[in-house]
Amino acid sequence: MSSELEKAFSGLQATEYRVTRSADCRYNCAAWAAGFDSAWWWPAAPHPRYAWPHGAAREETLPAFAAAYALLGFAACASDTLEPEFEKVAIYVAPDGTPTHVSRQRPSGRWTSKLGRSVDIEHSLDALEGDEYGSVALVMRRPRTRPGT
Amino acid sequence: MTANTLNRIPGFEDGESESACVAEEGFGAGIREIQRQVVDDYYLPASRQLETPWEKFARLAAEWKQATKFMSSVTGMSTHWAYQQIIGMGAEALPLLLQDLEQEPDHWFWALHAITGVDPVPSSEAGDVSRMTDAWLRWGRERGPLG
Repeated sequence: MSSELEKAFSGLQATEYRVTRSADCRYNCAAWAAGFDSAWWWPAAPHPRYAWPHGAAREETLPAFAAAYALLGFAACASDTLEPEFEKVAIYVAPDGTPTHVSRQRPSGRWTSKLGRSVDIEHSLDALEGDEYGSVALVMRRPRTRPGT
Repeated sequence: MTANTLNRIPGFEDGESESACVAEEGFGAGIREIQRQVVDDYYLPASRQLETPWEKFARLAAEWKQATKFMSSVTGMSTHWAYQQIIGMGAEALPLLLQDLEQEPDHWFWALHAITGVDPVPSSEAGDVSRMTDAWLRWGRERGPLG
């Protein structure tokens, strides 16, 4: 698996990362970033139906993703640097601006990602930038409800 | 398809200058992909032309699962060429999709909806892949393909 991951995400080759959960097609990055591991979140067309925060536009655009996470209490912030009292998410977009991935910062400052239908990993934020996910376009934060969560 | 696109595909050359095509720099990658697909289809090996529906489905499903394994976008997964080829198999693919779902949940919901025109998943279960799978398997048993 590690060689396959490093082939898809060349940034992992030069940085420390670890697989934290086995592959599972029942949840994805967008749900995992919000703290859920029981549903697949994506603003897809009405059919088939997928989960998406109520009230957020079902559009594959950065503003729609920002609005969806805003409904969960996140607000845009300037830095991906760890601020212990805040939980952060980072939204990656393709060169055309279409969201591709969402990652969440752990209390340690490292980032956790569910990679599509594949595994969860802990990584540095820029290690997933590249052909597969594009680059980080927006970082958002919300107050941590409990220290260390 | 524009005249310039056709110029780049074997068999469609009309003697226009190469520079006319090269000028469409941003369009080049797309044209090369079309060219590749046309050539691939033209030279399809006889063994592949003799595939059974199950063999065709298994080949396309494996290709799709591998190519989209790191993808979260439902649109991206569902518009992958192999997934679209499976939708193109029509009703023939229906029992194969449901049998694959019986083996292991996966994101065949777009294809099932595209082929059947129905969506048996209640909105309260949107995104719950296990329940979406159950809803489609129930539909398959009640409506025939898995009966």
